[in-house]
Amino acid sequence: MEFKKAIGLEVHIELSTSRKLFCNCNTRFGARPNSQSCNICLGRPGAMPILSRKAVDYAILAGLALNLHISDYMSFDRKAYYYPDLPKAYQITQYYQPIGVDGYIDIETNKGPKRVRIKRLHLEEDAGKLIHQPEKQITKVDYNRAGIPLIEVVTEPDLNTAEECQTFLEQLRLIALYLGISDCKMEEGSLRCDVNISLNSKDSKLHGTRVEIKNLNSFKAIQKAIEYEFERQREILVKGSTIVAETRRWNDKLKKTESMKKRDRGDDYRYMPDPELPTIRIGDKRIKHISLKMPELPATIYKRFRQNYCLSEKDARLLLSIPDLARLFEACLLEYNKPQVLCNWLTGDLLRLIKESNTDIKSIKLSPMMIKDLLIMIDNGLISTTIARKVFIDMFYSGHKPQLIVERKKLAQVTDQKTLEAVTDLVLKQNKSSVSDYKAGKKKVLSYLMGQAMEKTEGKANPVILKEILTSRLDQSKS
Amino acid sequence: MKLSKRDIEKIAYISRLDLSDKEIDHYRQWLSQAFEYFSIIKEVETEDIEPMTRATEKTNVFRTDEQVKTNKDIEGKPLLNTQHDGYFIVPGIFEDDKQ
Repeated sequence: MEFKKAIGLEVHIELSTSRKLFCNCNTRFGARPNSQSCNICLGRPGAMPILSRKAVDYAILAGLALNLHISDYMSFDRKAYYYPDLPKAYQITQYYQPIGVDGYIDIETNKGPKRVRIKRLHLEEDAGKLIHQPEKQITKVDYNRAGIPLIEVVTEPDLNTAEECQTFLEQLRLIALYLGISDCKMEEGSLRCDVNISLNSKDSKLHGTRVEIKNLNSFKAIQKAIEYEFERQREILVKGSTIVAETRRWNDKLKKTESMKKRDRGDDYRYMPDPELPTIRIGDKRIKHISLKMPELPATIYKRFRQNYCLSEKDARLLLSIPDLARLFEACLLEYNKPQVLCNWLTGDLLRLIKESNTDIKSIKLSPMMIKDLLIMIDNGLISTTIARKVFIDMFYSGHKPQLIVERKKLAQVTDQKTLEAVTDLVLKQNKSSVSDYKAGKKKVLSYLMGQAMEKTEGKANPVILKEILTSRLDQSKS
Repeated sequence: MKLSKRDIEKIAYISRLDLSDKEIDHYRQWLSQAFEYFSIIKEVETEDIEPMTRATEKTNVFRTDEQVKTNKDIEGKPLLNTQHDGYFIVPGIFEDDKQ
């Protein structure tokens, strides 16, 4: 029997507000344990939570970008969950009146475009972090993360393959990045994903049971977990047994899913409205005000990169993957209208330097004007591409204009016929054996001789002129 | 409303209480009485009345995303165990026995 996967995702995205959702604690990642916690996020009796307006605005902005119907009335509820990472023994979330419902994202699949429906988006607080130490029989708790605002995006089970899930997640991640509402760093846990998966037979006669998988910390883990779970459930169904409705966790070491809790009694979170948090009424005016902040979304930019600038899928995606890089690219295009050349420099030399120097694009010293000046120098034959690379590195670190660097370091290309002839003669004199090799028909030595001449001019010889002189000299001596 | 023995066992379980049979019987009677009271309240006609969930009718109470006072003296500090680098410590809980 053949089976089809029906996959729904629950994606948690940490919002990059500077304070927590209900208190003034800092949200910086990697601070000393519990140094960013207070009476409110530690759940001390009598502490009063007050909602962050920015978190609500961010969540609404995300809702608008995902085409959701934004509720005009929102409220918060308590989800009872007894575990040490939750100091109040309940999580403040939105169960009855979320930020928005019924949206969608369009993704590209290998079978063409596909619409993935989004059931709901709600705002909630994150839990603390537990570090288990079995050898000491203790668990350490850090509440720095407790109370950081999250949005949870819940999709309908519209995804059918691991690749589709990855495409969806990448798209969602890019949207959040371009909205500027999250840094979406999976490795720091600011983007997390649970997967709901069930199998149906292709003839639709047999329907499996929904199983939830947690603890997925990378795109790779998500893909592996889906593949593993497909096989596991398929085997059970083929045998004629039934699948248990349960939550499983991905074990990244053993590369398998393990049962975590059975859901046979149903989730019993005992949701109740949080009496401490007043409700929110969002008027059209407010929504309009928020939607004015809506930037251009990655799907639109991607389309322009492909259609207007004729970039390859790979190039377009690479540029798009870092919003500041895509912005710099388009700013440069205003100065220098050769998309492919620009793209090569930005995704090649620039990204390498960014990585090497461990900075980000926002803080670099290069302006679009400087990049244009450099590229025009190449176009005009003033410097070779090889030299330009060196100038680019210099520009990157010093922030000096390329003209200045070329002038100071005397890097301009040597195009003078006489100088190049003299160099060529010298090289031919010093490499007599290569000359005779050439005469004997070994044309390959030409590039070796070119290299020798280049070295003598410190890479500054104009390669076209140099090659002309070299071949004409060699052919002359041949006859 | 009469609560069953099983109801009490379940409430005891989620409250992490270890009750003897005698105690179960005691709480069964006591809690049942409390629930009886709700059946009286239930007689009130509430058809067209929106449920009240909050004591205040205020809406849109917000804080801005900036620090009001420094977090220098966190009131939670006395609880922190310096021997554990600032972590709170709880008895070991491991994924295996997570319910």
